[in-house]
Amino acid sequence: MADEKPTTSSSSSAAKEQTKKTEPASEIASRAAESIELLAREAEELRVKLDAERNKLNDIPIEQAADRLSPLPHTGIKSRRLLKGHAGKVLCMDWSMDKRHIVSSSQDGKVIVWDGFTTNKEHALTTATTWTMACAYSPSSQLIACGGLDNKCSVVPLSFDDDIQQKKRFRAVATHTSYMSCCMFLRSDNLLLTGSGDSTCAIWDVESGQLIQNFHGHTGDVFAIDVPRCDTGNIFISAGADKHTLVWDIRTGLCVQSFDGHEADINTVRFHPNGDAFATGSDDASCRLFDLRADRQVCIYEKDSILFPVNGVDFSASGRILFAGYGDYRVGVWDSLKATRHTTLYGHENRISCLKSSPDGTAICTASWDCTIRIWA
Amino acid sequence: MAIPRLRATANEHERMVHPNQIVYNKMEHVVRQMLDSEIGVPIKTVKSFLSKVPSVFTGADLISWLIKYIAEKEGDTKKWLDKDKEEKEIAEQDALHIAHLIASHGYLFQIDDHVLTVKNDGTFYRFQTPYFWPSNCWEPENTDYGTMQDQDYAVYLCKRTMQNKAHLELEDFEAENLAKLQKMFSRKWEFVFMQAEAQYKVDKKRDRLERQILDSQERAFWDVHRPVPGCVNTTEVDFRKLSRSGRPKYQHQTLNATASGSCSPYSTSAAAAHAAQSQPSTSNGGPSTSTAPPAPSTSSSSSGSFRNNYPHKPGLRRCTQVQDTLKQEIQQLNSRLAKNVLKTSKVIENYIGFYEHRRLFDPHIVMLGSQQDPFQSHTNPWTYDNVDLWTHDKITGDISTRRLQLWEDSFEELLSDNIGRDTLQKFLDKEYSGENLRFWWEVQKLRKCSCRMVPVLVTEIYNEFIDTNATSPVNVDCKVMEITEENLKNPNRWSFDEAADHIFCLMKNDSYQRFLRSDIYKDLLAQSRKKVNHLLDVVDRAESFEEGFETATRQQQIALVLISGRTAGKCIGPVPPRSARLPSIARRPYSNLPTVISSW
Repeated sequence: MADEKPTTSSSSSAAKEQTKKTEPASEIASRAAESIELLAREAEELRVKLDAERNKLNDIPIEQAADRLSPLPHTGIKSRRLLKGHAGKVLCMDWSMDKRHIVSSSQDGKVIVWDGFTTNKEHALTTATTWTMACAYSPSSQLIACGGLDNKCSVVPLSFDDDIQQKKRFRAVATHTSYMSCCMFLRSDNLLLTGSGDSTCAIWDVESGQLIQNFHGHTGDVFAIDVPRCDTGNIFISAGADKHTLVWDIRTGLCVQSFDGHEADINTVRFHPNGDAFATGSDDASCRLFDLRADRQVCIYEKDSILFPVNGVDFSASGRILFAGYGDYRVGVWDSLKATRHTTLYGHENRISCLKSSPDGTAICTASWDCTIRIWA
Repeated sequence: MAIPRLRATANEHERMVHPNQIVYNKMEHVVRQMLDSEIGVPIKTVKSFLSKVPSVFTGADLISWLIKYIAEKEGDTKKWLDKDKEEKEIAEQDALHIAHLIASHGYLFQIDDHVLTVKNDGTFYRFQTPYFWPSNCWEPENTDYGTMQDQDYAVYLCKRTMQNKAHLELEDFEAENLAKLQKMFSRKWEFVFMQAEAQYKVDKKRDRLERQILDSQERAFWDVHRPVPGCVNTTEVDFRKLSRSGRPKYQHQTLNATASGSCSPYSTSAAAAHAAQSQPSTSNGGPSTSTAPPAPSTSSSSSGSFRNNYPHKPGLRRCTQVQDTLKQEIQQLNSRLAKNVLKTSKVIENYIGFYEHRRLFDPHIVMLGSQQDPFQSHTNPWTYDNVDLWTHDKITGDISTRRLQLWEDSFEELLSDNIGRDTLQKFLDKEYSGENLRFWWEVQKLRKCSCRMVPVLVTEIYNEFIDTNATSPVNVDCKVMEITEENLKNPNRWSFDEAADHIFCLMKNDSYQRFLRSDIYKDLLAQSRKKVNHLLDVVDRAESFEEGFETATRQQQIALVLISGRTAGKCIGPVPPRSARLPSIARRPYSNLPTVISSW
């Protein structure tokens, strides 16, 4: 009874052939379509029901719940350091765990390691590609990872001697079938987590370049990934062009939760310091706060006068402040609990491409298409 | 004025959409309201000396219109006159920035300057005609020589040289560009020249005022697409978005056909355009003739059946059959429905609780070393150019009060701090339960080790902690032990996770609480407080006779005292501890209180 099998939807030509051969096949096909329709209806009903259930739990808007909090004090955040040296758009940056070193990558394929405090350049590397879209510092600060249009994520050890032979020191660890859009070390120098334009994420063994786990489920390019600050737990999140943020189980490679709400590409995601919530920034010019335990969106940070995409978000150490780097060259400082914009920071002269808080929360760093990096405190 | 080739195919559906489209739409919404004859920005024709300047408005008018517009949009009912100076400044800065952005995208421009920006004064500006809006004029940036846009630019510059008028004379950068283009199009130059001549003749027939406007608009168009050196080129696109527009995901899978189709005009011709882009020589052919991979439109139009229209949801594994995907989705939805989730109020209470506890550790909220900082930490290195905050503990071997309080605030923080973990280890060893922490730490190491080390570490951990005749066995209940044994049939880096989680909870609920009450921790705390108090007291004494001292931060004061003390060779005597100085941090109300340990 091979004919009993519903025709695979992907091959319409095969379906045609089958209908020619036997009449019942078309009946079966229509029956299959019917059952699909039934299933789809069931799914739709469940979705409506789920929405209703979740709405019931939205008992109080965040602004009201946080009413008792006193307003944020004047923060006095200013641009404190300006790192100049890139000749192209700076696309990504990452903090070292020593709280003062920074690695940045740019459109012309250069990767620079800075001492952010003194603004000195400590290493300058040339990668094999242009548009080095992602770079990351390892937890031990002895390695950096970078990649982009070459579809690879390469690892370079940092040492002060033999900078001359730097080209040889690049070692490709991860390989995707499309550009590599984001990368980070996973808890140690041994594991590398990458996200790619081929709509997958993957974990790689740095030493052998072996693929440990891959994560299929996005229906569009992956633009951002993040893991919770806290070492325990086995999840990470990813988001991208399909407007969804997916929560993954590192061990099984399965998606365990998914969050939607954004109206356009999500460019950035970042965990709340408590590890139970995360913020996203999107092309629809809004930032949103989603909670894992509430299984839904909790808050939206937007204004009618903000027209440009959000390219970087991060929290302050207490989670009260949400920093957002916009495509309109500005940094928005939001009160995450009252959902109001506290201040706006001016300084960059082109789009902000990346924003990250320093590991001890003393400063934030922004990378921009104006070829500079700024540290604000 | 003929730049028709710049415009993508007239057909709305066939048109390739710019990756910046979403921003263009939003700006155009604002600009349309500005253009409104009743509520828009007042446009006038100004007489100046002997001539007329048609259809202009001033920067001041624009800014005041925008301030009003933004306030209205955001439901700000406060009248302008009632606002204090600071609020006014912020609103003005905001409006000015938005005006600058709108100008830099070419929607409006200063009538006689190549730099696209807006000043809040009497300078005259003019609106761009929608024909020249960036959303209407896009073709993929082609890196190979000779894009259509380059050619049009050459024609435009060439035309300018013919017009022979003072205000139309080429700027230096334009002259340079022209020279470059001339080289590039050397073989086609005659053609370029002829086109320019033809356009020039058409232009000459126009009305003088009309020509004045059109000339300026054309100039502004090129100021956007070929900006003055040093100005931001707003037509640049994010590579990630550009390459995505060329490759709708999984289009070979019919399942997904409309997932990309639903984001409408984007993907249809985009795929084709991408293919065209990859072979620049045939880019004239247009989307219809290029050898594009089967665009979603074809698949959805050929069969309108439901299965092809069913959008694939992110987060599900791809199945070859729609039924399976649907079943999977239903299963997922059911499990989500069954899941116990928190109310919003509860979740927010949680954020507030976290904030209230970590407030003191957030340098953006409580300034480091200021009067409000109960730990009297070192100052923020970025603001005061002083790295003591980072280096003090390392150099002196002290543990700052700030750090100790953080250990008290959260067990996770204690464990993530190397010295914290060592201290806890010492305490546990004294209590004869040191193997717990060592086991947990070894498991953490295993979870993040390189693949090569996994078998080695698994064996080591098993032999040391789990095996029946292990050297230092850990106490896990039989249920967890069973799971662990089951895991070990197929050992990997996650094999001991359940056991480690179990031990973690034990330590958190029991040992950690006792650690915080232990002499080891209390001594450390007293020690670090004594140092701060000691310094504070000296500061107090110094305060009485030093003028202007109060303006300095506590930390600076302490530093000053230390320096003066050292230089004077004075010996600072011990001071009785003054615990009142340092308000101890309230215990977290929502933390798990020590619970009775069951199932030992």
